[in-house]
Amino acid sequence: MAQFKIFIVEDDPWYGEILQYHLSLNPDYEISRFTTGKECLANLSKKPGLISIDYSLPDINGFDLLKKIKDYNPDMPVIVISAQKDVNTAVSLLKEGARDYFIKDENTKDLLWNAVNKERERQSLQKEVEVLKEELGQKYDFNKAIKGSSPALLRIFALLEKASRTNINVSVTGETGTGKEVISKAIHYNSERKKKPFVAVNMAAIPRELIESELFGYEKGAFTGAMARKTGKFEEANKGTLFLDEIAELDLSLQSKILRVLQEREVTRVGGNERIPLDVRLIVATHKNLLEEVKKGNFREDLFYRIMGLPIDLPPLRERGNDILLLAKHFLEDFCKSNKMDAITISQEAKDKLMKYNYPGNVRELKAIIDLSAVMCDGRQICDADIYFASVTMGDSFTNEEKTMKEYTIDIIKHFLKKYDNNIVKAAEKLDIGKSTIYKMIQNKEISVN
Amino acid sequence: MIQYNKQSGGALYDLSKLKKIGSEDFVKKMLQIFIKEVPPSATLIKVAYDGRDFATVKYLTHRIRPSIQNMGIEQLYNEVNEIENLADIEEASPMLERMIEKLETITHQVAEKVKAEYNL
Repeated sequence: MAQFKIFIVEDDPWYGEILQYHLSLNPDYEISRFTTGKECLANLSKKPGLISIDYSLPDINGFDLLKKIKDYNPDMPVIVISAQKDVNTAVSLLKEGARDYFIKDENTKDLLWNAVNKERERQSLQKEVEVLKEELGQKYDFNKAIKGSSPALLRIFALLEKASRTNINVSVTGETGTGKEVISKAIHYNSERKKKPFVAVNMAAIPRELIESELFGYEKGAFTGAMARKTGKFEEANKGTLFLDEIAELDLSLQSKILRVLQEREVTRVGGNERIPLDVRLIVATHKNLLEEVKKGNFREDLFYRIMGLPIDLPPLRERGNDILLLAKHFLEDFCKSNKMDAITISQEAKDKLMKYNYPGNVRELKAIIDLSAVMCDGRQICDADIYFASVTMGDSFTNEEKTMKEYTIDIIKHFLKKYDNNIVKAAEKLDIGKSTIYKMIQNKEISVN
Repeated sequence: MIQYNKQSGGALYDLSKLKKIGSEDFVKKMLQIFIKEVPPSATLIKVAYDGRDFATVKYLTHRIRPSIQNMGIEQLYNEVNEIENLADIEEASPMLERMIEKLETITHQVAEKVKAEYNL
């Protein structure tokens, strides 16, 4: 392990020797001693892990030396040791960025010892966080995070590249389970903002009355139960990315508040007056058609244009052809690895079965199907009998009852209308039938559109 | 370890604090630093006072204070604090002068004793 470098800047040889001797008791520390501020500044390129400076040096006072060190590297930890018990001096030094301030007395060497240990621990945790962030970034590398090579997906890859190169807001749409959050994370971790937070909020998962305080934060005493100040999601995501999932679920009053935050680029906590400047990249997602919601009056048009940015419409899995098998193989490998199982393959019959299914739950459903099939399979190969489809959207009940062809047709059309928010043109297009067929059924009151 | 002042009968110095911090080699090194740094600094304090350079009086006294304390020179504890405080007022006084003289005398005495005791 590399030694932890410590600079002691102390003009008093007696005191410097005591500090050096005490810290040298730990063989992991490499200590350099300087008697002037000038010497210390000349050696900063050696990147010390911590600098201890005496406030009263012959050539510079502790305050000015601290400033110069911080100018060189704002992250370099500095501890100031002084005989001055003046609180104002201590406060000014801490404000200027000193990690700590110790009064020179018999306990100083022990305080310094503890401070060095804490600093090492802090730096080691920081390194760990950086490594984890790096790993997370690699995990969300476009090709690792999103599997597939279908033309539909290749178009998405091209859009992702564009989205990650700029700060433009992004609106992701797609059926449930198509990977809207995965895509959003991939954009974040491939952008310039990757070292800053990615904060995800699911609007549908937060009770309506709590959304405002959750997004904007609140001050202590803002309402009953606000025992302490709380930072909101917008603030948490500052300099990074805020992902608002199920944006269409927001009620109109909150939509106007979000619009204001986006326009002003600042947020005010509930019950507070301070305006906090924001630099947030927004990614929104919904399974609904936002434009339709605007037309229906459920979503503000001005907010729609503000958040739309670069629209990315994720294709449903059934439109991604061979990606189904590619993903199935990937999920199977992943499952075997995480469960310490020998490798399993998929038989041709099972592949055919997988390819014929329509996956209303999309990629999420495919993963569940593959996980289950890996558990059910007895040998080293998944056969078609190991594959169970249990979609809640259509379900087995679809064929459980005996119905006439006409009744089945009505059920199917109803299902597609519901799925596409009563968009007759889209439903007709998906079913590959003429839209007049559906209009006739509505006219005959066989189907109703609410 | 404790050396007594022949005139006052009080302890001239007490190395127990220093010995608690480190090994014998460390103590010897600190004694060498004391001999080299402190008595000459005390003399300089007197010179600075004679020239009414109170800033230097204060700075040098402040600098040698930890060594006076670690060497257990109890009879100077109060003096080093007072010299620093009075130098801040920037006014000459018989009391300040007496204390500076005492500082010089005692530190030189301690240095001589230590040299003899530890063959330095």
